[in-house]
Amino acid sequence: MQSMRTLEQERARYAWQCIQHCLDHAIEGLRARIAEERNEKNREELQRRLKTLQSEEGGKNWKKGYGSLARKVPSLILTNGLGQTLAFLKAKGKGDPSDEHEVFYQHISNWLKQRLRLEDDLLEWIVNSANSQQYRITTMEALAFLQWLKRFAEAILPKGEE
Amino acid sequence: MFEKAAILFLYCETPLHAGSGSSMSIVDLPIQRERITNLPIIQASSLKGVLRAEAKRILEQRNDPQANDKVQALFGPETQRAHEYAGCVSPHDARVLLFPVRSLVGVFAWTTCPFVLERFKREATAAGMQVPWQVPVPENSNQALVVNGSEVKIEDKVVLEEFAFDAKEDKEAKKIAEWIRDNALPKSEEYQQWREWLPKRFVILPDDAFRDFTQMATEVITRIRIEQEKKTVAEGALWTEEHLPSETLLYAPIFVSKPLAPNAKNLGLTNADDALKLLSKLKLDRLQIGGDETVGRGIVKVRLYCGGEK
Repeated sequence: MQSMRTLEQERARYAWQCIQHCLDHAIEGLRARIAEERNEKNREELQRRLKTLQSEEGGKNWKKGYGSLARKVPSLILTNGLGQTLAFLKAKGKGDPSDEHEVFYQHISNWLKQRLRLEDDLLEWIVNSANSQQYRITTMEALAFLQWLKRFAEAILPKGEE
Repeated sequence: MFEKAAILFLYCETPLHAGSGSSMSIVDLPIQRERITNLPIIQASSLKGVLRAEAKRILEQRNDPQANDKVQALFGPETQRAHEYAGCVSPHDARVLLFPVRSLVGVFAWTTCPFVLERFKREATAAGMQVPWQVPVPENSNQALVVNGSEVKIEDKVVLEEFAFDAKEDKEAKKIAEWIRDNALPKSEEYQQWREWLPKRFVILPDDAFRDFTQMATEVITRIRIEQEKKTVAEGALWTEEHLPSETLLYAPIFVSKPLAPNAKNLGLTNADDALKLLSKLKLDRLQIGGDETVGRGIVKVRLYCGGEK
């Protein structure tokens, strides 16, 4: 009982961090990308995007996008499965570290990797090495974590029109 | 104390939403679940209300002049007079016996698990049913027991949703599947095909796996409200509802005691036997349970066992 309770608290704690800092994570990711970018033109484009995120309006819109994912993703997992849903987030994020889909993927993936003590990419692990039972347990863990994420998102993120 | 027991089998023909009202989970409107196992249930009070209303409807349709008195003797008086005496029919919570899960081959499988079967056996035995089977237990968390010649087996595997299990044919599983087919599935002609399908698509899963499926493989239905002028979703009017999928089989024990209504004797209800007979003579066929009645949810086909099948 003690350890179960701690686990729920851990989930809640990490979900709370994700929600509190979701926009910061996007901005950090974008900054890192800018530092790496060698092409002048691309860098300017990324700078523009950074400015938008840092503006009040742009930041609010970004949070709305993230918040609507937090509402939507759990039922996506229920209807399509964890693997499909992660692949969807990956595809939508297109590797852009400031895209809300990518940030969301990182948040789920960081939590599950920590729980599973995984080194590799989560999606790769699911596709290549997880057995059926591990996959099922991971799905249940993802749902348990997202329950907190969704609740906190509803509590503090601005609501988009759906 | 109770003198007679019966078992009411409920076969879901459409998705069923017996809501718990709380929105603390992933779906906005989750279904009722049992605290310790998290398995879906329909609370006894929901069931009793439906039985009461249906009994009244049937008796009135038959132009029974004592319809109202009989209903009150069975289920208790109206709320304002509830203190006068108690009804003699006590349905318990309905529990899941078979839960359908999407299957790679054979479309879907009717799954169950040792815990559910043992518990059902206990209840059914208490209600006087002959239960001549033992509950087999999968050897490990990755094994699923099926009937010889199963349609949901492919190359020694059973693949449910996206999860694979090692299939093992089991003689006792066959006995159980056939027993459920003969004793619990609806008896009517239109269910002939279902009765043939059942053993071929019957799967006994490990307890944990079964529990997980009942959590993540329920029907989640997204609903919206349209703003008529704009023909778009009204703001904030998007929500998800969880349903027990159609093809779920549930059972509810029903206990019957001596009728306590002062006019019971005049109604021909001198003992629990009479009350049970009245219940069985209603010839319950279909009930509507849970929310969303007006969009066709919660239609169940009923089979009542009350000792020696009357």
